[in-house]
Amino acid sequence: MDPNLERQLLSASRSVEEVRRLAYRDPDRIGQLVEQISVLADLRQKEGDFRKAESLYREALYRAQELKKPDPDLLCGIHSLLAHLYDRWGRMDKAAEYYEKALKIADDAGLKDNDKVATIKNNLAMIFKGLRDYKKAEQYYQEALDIFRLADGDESPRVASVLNNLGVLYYTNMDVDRAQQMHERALGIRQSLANDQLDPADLSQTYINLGAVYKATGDFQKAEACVDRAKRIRSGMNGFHANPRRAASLLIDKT
Amino acid sequence: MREILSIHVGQCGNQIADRFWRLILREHGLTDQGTPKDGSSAASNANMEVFFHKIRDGKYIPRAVLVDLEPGVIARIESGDMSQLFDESSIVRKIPGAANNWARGYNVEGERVIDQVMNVIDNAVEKTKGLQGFLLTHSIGGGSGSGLGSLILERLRQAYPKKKIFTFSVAPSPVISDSAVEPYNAILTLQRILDHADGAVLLDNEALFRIAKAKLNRSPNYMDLNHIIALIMSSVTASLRFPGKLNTDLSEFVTNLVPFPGNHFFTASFAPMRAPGQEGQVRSNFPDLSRETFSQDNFTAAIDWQQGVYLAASALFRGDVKQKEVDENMASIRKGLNFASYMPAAGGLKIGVAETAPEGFASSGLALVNHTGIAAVFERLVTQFDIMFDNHAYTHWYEAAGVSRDMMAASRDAIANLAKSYRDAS
Amino acid sequence: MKVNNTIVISIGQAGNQIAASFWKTICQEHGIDPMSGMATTQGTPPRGNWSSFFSQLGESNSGSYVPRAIMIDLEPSVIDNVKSTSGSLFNPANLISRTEGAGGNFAVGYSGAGREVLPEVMSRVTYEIDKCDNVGGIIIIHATGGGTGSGFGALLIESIKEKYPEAPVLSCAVLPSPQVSSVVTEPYNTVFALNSLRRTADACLIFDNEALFELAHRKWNIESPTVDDLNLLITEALAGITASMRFSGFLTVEISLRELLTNLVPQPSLHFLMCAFAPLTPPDRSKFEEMGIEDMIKSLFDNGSVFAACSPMEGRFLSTAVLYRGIMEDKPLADASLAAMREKLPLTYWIPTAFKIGYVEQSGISHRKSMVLLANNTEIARVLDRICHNFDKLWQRKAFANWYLNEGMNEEQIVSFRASAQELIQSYQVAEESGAKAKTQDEGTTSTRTHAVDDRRAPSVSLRDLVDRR
Repeated sequence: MDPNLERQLLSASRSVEEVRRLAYRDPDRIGQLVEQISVLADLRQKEGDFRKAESLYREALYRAQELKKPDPDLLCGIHSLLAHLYDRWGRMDKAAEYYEKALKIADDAGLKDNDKVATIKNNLAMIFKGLRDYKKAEQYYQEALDIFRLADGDESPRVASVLNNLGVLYYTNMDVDRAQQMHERALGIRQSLANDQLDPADLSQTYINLGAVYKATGDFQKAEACVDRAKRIRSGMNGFHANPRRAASLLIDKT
Repeated sequence: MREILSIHVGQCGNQIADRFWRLILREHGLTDQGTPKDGSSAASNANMEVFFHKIRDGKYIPRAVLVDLEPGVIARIESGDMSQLFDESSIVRKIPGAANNWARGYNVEGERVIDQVMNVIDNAVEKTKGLQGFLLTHSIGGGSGSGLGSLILERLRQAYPKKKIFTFSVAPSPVISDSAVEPYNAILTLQRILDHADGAVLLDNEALFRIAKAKLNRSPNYMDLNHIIALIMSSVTASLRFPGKLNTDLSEFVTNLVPFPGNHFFTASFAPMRAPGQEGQVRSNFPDLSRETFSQDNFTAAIDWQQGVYLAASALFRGDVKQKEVDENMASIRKGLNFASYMPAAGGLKIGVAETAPEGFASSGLALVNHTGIAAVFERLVTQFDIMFDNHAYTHWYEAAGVSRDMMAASRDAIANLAKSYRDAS
Repeated sequence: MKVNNTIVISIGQAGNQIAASFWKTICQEHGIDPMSGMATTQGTPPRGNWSSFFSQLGESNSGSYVPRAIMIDLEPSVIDNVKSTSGSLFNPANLISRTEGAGGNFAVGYSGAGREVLPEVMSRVTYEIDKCDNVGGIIIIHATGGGTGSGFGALLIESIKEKYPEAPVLSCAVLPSPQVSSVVTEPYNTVFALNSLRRTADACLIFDNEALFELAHRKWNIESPTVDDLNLLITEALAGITASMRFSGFLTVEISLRELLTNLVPQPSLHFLMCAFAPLTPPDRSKFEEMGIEDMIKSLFDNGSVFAACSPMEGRFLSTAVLYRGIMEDKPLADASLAAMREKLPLTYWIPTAFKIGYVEQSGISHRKSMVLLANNTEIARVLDRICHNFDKLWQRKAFANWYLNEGMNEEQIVSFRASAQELIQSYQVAEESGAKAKTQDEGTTSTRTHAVDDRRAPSVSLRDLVDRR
């Protein structure tokens, strides 16, 4: 195992133990405990031990559920962490289940429209797409889109991401016209973003997706052009590096 | 190296923990807070590693995980002499208890707590270098020790398939019953012990009571009974912790004691039983010691000695015992035991010696025996189970908590077959 | 330390009088002043696991301790009395009363005035449940002879089980007797309440006024026992039963309400329990005379000691729990005597291990050593039969029936309630008869018990059927 990872695991393990000790006497420490557990669970996922990560999250979940004053934000967060784990693990039905639980908690607590909810909706939509429930997928993408629009504005990066995802969804459904619409809008937004706001990988991805759509409509010239642009952007990047993703951050489809 | 992690589940399991750790602390010259006693020659550090984890300021923390669904027993340990001893991060206590119902301990309450328990166990295992295995103490007639204990056994086996798991299981007594549904709880748990443990020492309170009463000069209480269990547990692991010849450790116990897969249920005996304070006074000579060790009355489970045979036996003598005495007496001991006819004449009996006796004893003996008469315990439980089950007595409590009648019947059949396999092995 | 929390809801005149006495007693047991709710020793918390029955107002040890109690009555006098005699102990929002009363009519309590007061009561129930760390159970104290305890009791239990199906509900029901009666329609009210108790409560502990009257008269030598005397007996029993939920200790066996029920209720329909208490020394003598353990056990199982007008030794014990409290030096002797007594009891052969023993080290306030017996015994059928018999006498002539029909009940309903009570009696009779099979049963292969038992009075019912009937 990577010695750096090993060291991090050891240190995270110790922290969790320490907070467990503190939380034993003081229930107010549960939030802290959940935080430390997330760190360790994330490292376990890196290590490839999904089972241990799951066990850790579930411990956090049950502890949070026992609090006298339930903290919906915390509970919602843990549910989506678990869902994200199941997603990476490949257990899609459980991932969908836990994202939906997270949404319900947010809904019941009146946290309907914050952007954490939007992120969950986006991720959930992607899972439904994987499970072939296209209606639900579209519904959730739309809801996520609406929330991000309201929060960030019509021309923001997150809106572009969801548009991209919608485009991929439509393409999968052979709805090429709408797919083209989505990707063109996404392109428009991404082209206009300043350098510090834009991840070149995203931009190149949109070109690739557009290319696929043009090919489907029979416009091979445009398709060719798009793929070229994409290649140029990629080679301009210093090695293809994916943006480090925090847990439960947006997942962009790579078709 | 060779560390052992002890897991104590439920009221009974934790009451045993209380006596066991008290005993082990004294054997290793530690105070109730886990620090070495002044002036005592604590046995060399390497042996301490089996049961203790040493932390920076010279303090030793037991490699123990305490789990309970009712707060009482653990709360008492924490408010008593050993309040500074255990690592709080290794204690898992929740309410509301399993209400004597295996199904609640396994499903309803177990579900809420198992992840924390497994995470705590994982943490403890990470602190070891060459973990041998696990000891589990619990009763199988109640709700927590049986139900949650079963769930822990399953997950342990899943997470650590190569490690040895030994249980010390207190089984319902023939005459004194603790709860109306103990046959159900016991059978459901025994099936998990059958499937996932490498060895199980069955103990019943009535036999312990009888032994304690006969040897002490007064009416025994639960502390006395748990003390006997603690002495047995200590001796089972003694040769790992103290230097000696012919070491017998957990793996060897299992190899020598289990002739057929599934037949891993043992009964144990500890000698000499004396009133506290009198242990060292009468120095038994070896023939007397070995006779008491193997005396049928001294065994801690109500098994059928008459209609059964020995499949295998292991003994460990500690303290003032010379190897020569053991060698000389081995043959006659062996002759006195009614072994299965297909066992070679001199085989089936393994005897080990370790230098250090339990505190206060000049010498002591432990016998771990695999005897086909243990079938009587299973048969008795199955009979009680059947009569209740066929009349649908109490089964609605189990169904309500997610354990169907089919599941119960499957466990019952497994244990009935186990009893039969023992009888057939005669 | 977190423990299971229990809520006590008392309904009606008798229910609230008993509850008042009960709370006063356990306040004393825990060292809480019954007038102010403060700990009697300043600055230290009360004794035992007080949080099982009390919640705390204010953070530190100088806060006050509030009973987890809700009291309801449809007429004001008893609750007003409680308010004036209990200082600031109870939470006033939990003492709910109305002015009209139920007129001794189940239907008023169930669908008339009772329905009006239900929302307020349920909101208090929700409030109390939300305060719990964990709901160990809900104890309902009520009498079935009047209108409020029976009617509103039934309504409330149904509502609670609907909203909180997981919470164990134990009804402590006082059954009426002509010797202590005040209401001529008692048999009606009781039979109607029984229907709910049978179908929705998890268990029902019977206190039969007829037996209690005899006990107070014979054992306590009271010429004309009053309701207060009977309530004292009931309080002793309740304190003893709840002791193992309220204390822990080295040798104490903590038994939660759910655990008690798990041991005592072998099938969902057979959940009517009776109890007995020992020693039955009169209150003025209990400080000076102490009974030996063996005598106490003998007294406990004596036919004349049980709080129900029947003879348990003539019936069959389906399951039994003996809860012993007091100094433990006699424990081995107690164990031995109980084991000996167990041999003599008519047990049910198909429940071989149903004899639970609990210990609590902490004594009650009136006796150094005491025992409570909780039994699920088939003789309860006799008690229920008596009530049904009195019901039939009235119903034959439809005497007083108008009061109920005018309140929205109809004849079919009444007949079905009566039939339900009869089914309950039958199921206990079947259990009694099947329980004796051991002697005639052939050992060998275990056979399934599906064959019906002959009963001249009613169609045969097999044990299997009992399981599904609820």
